[in-house]
Amino acid sequence: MSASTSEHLVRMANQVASFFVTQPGDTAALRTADHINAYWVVKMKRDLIDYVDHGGGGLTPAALEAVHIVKNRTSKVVERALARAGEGSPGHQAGDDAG
Amino acid sequence: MSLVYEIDYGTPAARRSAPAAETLVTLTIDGQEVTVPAGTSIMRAAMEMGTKIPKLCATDMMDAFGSCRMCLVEIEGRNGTPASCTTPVAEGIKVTTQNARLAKLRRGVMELYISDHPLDCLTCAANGDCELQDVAGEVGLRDVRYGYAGENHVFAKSGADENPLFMAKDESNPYFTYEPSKCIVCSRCVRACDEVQGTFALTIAGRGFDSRVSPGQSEPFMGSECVSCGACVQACPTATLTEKKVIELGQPEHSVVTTCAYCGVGCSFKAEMRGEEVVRMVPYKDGKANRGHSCVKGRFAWGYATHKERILNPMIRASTADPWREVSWEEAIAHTASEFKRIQAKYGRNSIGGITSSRCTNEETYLVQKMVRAAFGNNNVDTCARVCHSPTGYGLKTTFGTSAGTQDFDSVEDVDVVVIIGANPTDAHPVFASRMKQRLREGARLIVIDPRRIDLVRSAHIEADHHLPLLPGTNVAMLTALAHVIVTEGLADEAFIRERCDLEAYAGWAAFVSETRNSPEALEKTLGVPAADVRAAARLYATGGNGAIYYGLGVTEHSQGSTAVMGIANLAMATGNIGRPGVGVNPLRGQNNVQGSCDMGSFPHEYTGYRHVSDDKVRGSFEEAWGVSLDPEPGLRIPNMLDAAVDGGFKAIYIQGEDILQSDPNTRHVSAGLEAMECVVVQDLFLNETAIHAHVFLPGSTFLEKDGTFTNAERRIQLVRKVMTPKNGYADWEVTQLLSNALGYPMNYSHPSEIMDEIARLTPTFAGVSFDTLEREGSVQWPCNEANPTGSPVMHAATFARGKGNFVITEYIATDEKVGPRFPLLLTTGRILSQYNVGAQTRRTDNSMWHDEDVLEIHPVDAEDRGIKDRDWVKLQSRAGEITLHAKITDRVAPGVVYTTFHHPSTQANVITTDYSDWATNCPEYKVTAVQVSGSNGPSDWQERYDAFALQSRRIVAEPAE
Repeated sequence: MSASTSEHLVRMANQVASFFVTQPGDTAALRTADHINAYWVVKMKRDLIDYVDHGGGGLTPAALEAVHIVKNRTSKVVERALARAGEGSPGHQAGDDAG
Repeated sequence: MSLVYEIDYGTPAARRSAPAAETLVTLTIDGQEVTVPAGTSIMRAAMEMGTKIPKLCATDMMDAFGSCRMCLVEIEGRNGTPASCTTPVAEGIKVTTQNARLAKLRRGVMELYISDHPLDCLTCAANGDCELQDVAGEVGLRDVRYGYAGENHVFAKSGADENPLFMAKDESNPYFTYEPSKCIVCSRCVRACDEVQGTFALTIAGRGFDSRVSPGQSEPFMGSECVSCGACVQACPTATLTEKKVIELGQPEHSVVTTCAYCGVGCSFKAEMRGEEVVRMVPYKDGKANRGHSCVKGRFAWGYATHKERILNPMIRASTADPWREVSWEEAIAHTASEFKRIQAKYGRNSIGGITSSRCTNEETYLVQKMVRAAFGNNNVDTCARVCHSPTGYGLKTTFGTSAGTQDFDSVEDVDVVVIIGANPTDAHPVFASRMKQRLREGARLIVIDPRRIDLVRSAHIEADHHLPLLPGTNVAMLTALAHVIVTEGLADEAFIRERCDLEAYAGWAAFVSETRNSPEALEKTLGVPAADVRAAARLYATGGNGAIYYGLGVTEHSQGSTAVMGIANLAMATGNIGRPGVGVNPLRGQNNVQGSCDMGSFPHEYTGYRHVSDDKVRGSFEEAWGVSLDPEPGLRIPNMLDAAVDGGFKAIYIQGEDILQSDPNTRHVSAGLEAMECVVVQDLFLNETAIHAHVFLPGSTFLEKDGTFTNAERRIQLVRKVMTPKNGYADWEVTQLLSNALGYPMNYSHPSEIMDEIARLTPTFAGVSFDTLEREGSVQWPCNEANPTGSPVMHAATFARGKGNFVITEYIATDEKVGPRFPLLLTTGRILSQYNVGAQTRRTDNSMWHDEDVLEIHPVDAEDRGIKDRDWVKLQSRAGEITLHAKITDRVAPGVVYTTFHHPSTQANVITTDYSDWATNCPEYKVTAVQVSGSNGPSDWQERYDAFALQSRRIVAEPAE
């Protein structure tokens, strides 16, 4: 993974977290992790985890926590944790077929 | 086959929303009783029972005019012979449409018309399609007693002298001619321009015998304000306004109803044919999106289908430095399949992917994503919606529970307050814009939120109540400020919110927007718009009746695009403007089938109908139907594919009908990504810019050459019908099928209807859709299923798709793309009427006569600071790159803001745009780039190098001599 790629991934994760930290409740990291699970390919997730594991910086606190969640819990576990907190998972939920 | 015949009722139907139209009136016409809605004209009532009253100035696309005096009738107990077009029906009246007196009057009038009309019928282009000729026949004209000796408009010479009344033919417009000598001054063209199109480019100059149709102030058509929509040509009852193609080819002999392949409006057209040759495209009155109207693109700009630069044979090459070599379809497909297999064997299953096309049909798009998921064995599929409306999907799904627009286009007829945010409908969605303008001229109010003064802000008989010219990148702050006013001034629709929305979410949101820091006053400097204007606009939207928001890429193509979409949804819910005609949230989709390509599972994380690939039940249904096991992890999005390519892990791509090199941001990055791949396959009509980096070129087919469906911006699914054999040999779905078979995943469709049947089986929202349904209904808007067998014009009518509407907090976070000393101006980008997207099609038509280059709009103050004059070459620089183009000095843009279009590859506007993107969807931030503008002598080094490289890369090796 090149430096520009890791920079890009950090930027993307921070951007996602920057939205969720503005939302009510204390689920920003969980929701960021869920977003990453819903839209990122495995390799991007793995690259970002590697980057963090090797001491890479630049992630905001919520984004960093999200990376740990992505690393340590499966996507379904995150979804269930969100559901318990009363939050949906817009990425994973069926969109237009709800009707 | 024969021509599709459409009845002309003479005057429009009584407005469905007019209260009077609910009352029915019974009258007697020629002894026969007929019942019609009040407000209907006698002419229309007669036609509805099958009696055509002779007419020349009346047609049902526009209001009655009463000038030609052909449609006279007698009404028992009333004096005289009133015109049936301008006389409304009344209860119990008895009408006579034909008797000796009426016949004599009509024949007399007709005789006068013909006394100043050439008698060259046999050689006239309208022969066979001339209403004047028809009516002359209907009234039994046998003689013209007046002769042609006197004053006339017919002959160029009067004896030996010039005839001062004669006007030569105007052939300035590339698509139609204006031949004044054949004009009967019925004013249909003038009224079509006013009432249907809303441009007011035409008028009748002079009085009495001097009356002439005049474009602008007696200018040639091309020099006038005419936008070449074709409404006047369609309205003309004679040969005065005639398509040049009809003059060249003669009258069509059969026609087929199909759907335009340009923008997301999805106009319905009759393709009028001679054999396999298109004579003309005529808008279809039963088309529910366009209601019989068209624009210069769909009506006229279809000549690209037979353009000499179209590539008709497959081509391959080992390296992009080599010239192209034409090969057979078999060789091209076998080569591609073997390359894909080799690359997957060497670099792994995830090293290849595909891009579906928003210009191809639903069936073709579905097939590409099916091939990627089933034959490639990964989810690396994406579509160009990534770069336009993906934030709409995410934003509306989060707030409403479904990602699509909430209304149909007809809804605009019931709007009281139109809000346009970051959209330019008169250029990008012209036919819908005409319908919107009709409503605005009827008195609907208008709020425009856009950095640039778009045409709708002030045009003929339309003036926005409020134009809020915000700084690019501040949409979210603006939407929150509007919400602040609505909530703090007590204008929210509390009954609606209590009944329909999540109250806890509302309470949190209301508290957030009410904070002083979100007031228009506090945000005045951020927005660059006076607080009083913002307050007034918010009050108007909240209290002006039915409020509808129409928005475009000026909302989505930002780092906070998804947040802004949620902000729009919040406003609609807070004011109760959702769930009925005349209101709603209306994303104006860019391409003909961008809605459809999203619906068809083109995104790397979801199957058809927006269902995530990780959903075991959904995935299971596809695994069962397709007979393969499918990857539960999302695949790569387009920008991620390019990143991965540069990084070395992504090596091959199949791109159907998409020109990412020109349309995607940061051209250098796209170029580097493509260069790093070992097999780039481009399937397109032309050697587009992306093909410069391609190793395989598979020729594509046009919308005229295949069957299928497109889904427009109102979720309307419409049939595309084949009118000619594919010149390249195969429709695009057949090419995908060939490739899939060569890859070892069998597909055996014999017609696109079978593909739609499969989609319907696997997708609950499409369960009721089939080619048969579409043949029967004309079109349907999804969801179309057991609950809504004929589709759903208005969504969220009783409840939101997600249950309760969800208010989402929209904190404004400024983009990282900031102006500074090096790049002090903000560039924003957009489109122009005559060109479409990357221009691959429109640039290969005469549409380029209206717009032959991209220019940079710059405010006079910024221009003067830099010593720039109008039409100067200027250099436009951002941190991503630099280009050179001509400057256009205008106060349409505010100081500090510059604007350009991206239609021409020689400009390469996307060399300038950056790779910043929306936080949720990676939709690129096209609409905000910090730039500097300075004087220049001509094209930049990059442009010159690129042009030379592009030329080199397009070489096709000559056929060896036999």
